[in-house]
Amino acid sequence: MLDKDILNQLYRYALSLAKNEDQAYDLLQSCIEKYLRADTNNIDMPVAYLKRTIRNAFIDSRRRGRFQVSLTQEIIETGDTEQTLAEPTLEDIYIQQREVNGIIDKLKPEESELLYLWAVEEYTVDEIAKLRNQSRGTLLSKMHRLKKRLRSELAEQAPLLKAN
Amino acid sequence: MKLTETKTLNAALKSHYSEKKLSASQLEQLLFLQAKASFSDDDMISSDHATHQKEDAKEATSGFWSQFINRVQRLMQKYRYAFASGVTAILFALAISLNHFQAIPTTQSILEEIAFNHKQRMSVTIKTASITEVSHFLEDLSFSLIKSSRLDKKSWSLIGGRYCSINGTLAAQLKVKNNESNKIYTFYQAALPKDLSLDSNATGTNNIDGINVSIWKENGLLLALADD
Repeated sequence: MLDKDILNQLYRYALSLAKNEDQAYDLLQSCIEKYLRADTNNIDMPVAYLKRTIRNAFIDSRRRGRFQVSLTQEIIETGDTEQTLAEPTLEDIYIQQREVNGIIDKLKPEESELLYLWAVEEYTVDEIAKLRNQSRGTLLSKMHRLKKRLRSELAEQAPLLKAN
Repeated sequence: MKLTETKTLNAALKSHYSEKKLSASQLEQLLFLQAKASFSDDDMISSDHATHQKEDAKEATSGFWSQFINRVQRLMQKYRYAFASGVTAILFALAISLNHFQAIPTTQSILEEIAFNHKQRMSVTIKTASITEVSHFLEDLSFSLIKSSRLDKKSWSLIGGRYCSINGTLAAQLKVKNNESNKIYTFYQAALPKDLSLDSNATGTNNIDGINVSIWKENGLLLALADD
């Protein structure tokens, strides 16, 4: 039985993709129903299985949307080789709590998901790469780009916050 | 949580997401889904002993039939709407077929029913030689009794009558005597069943289980005469 903590964890993951509470719940519910219909004997790690199911269901729901396009573009793009060698951290980025919502809203679903797994669930690069079925190099490149973008977004917001 | 507090990005994100929780009703619904699935599968999903429990449960019910029944139950649950539609269609077709068979009587079935009625040798409920009096007495009939051209007044005498049933509808069973042979006959009058195609050969005398039955149409009614 998936307990309340696990259900909330999966809900937050779905929320990081969908960025809408109702959609996140619908996504979670449909995936749990799918999971319950599956042969659970063959599923060693239910949480990881469910995260992949949620991710695939979300991609399916956006198959003809921007999310799929952004995935394709990002796979084609290559990061700076020097940058991809080192695993980036988020410890050196500072933010006010009230800025978080605005930042997440500006991110693409894939970026928001990456940030959630990286910062909240503290997944390693390898774990994220496995979940998303991506190479480590591609993922590191994305993380560097995301970090750079966050810095840029926060710099843009800073004058506005000071004015408020 | 102070909104203006400055944190590292990961700390801020953790704080942000920690506030995102399923509502009590959503949690209840998801737990119910699992409980329902556990109940139907006799299975638990994520406990450490889940695999062993499931294997034990399977061993206990490992017969071919229990597996077959489980599979059928799952299929029925999965395709419950298609299954319900199928059953409804079959029942509907069955009802139509039964109705069809009942609605189209055959000459043979009517002959057999008349022979059966005759064998019961039921006594009359009104004893009279007047067809008009019998007709008044059997007031629930949907038709008026007639004097048949085949039973002329000189050769036949009316003894009385009673209700009977032919082809599921109310009919009259009259008792008549042949004045020449002094034999007693039962004489039937019924509304002509819709869709009945009366076999012309049947208008002669038919022997049904030792009973002689003649059947014919007259003035829009079905008439029959039976004797031993």
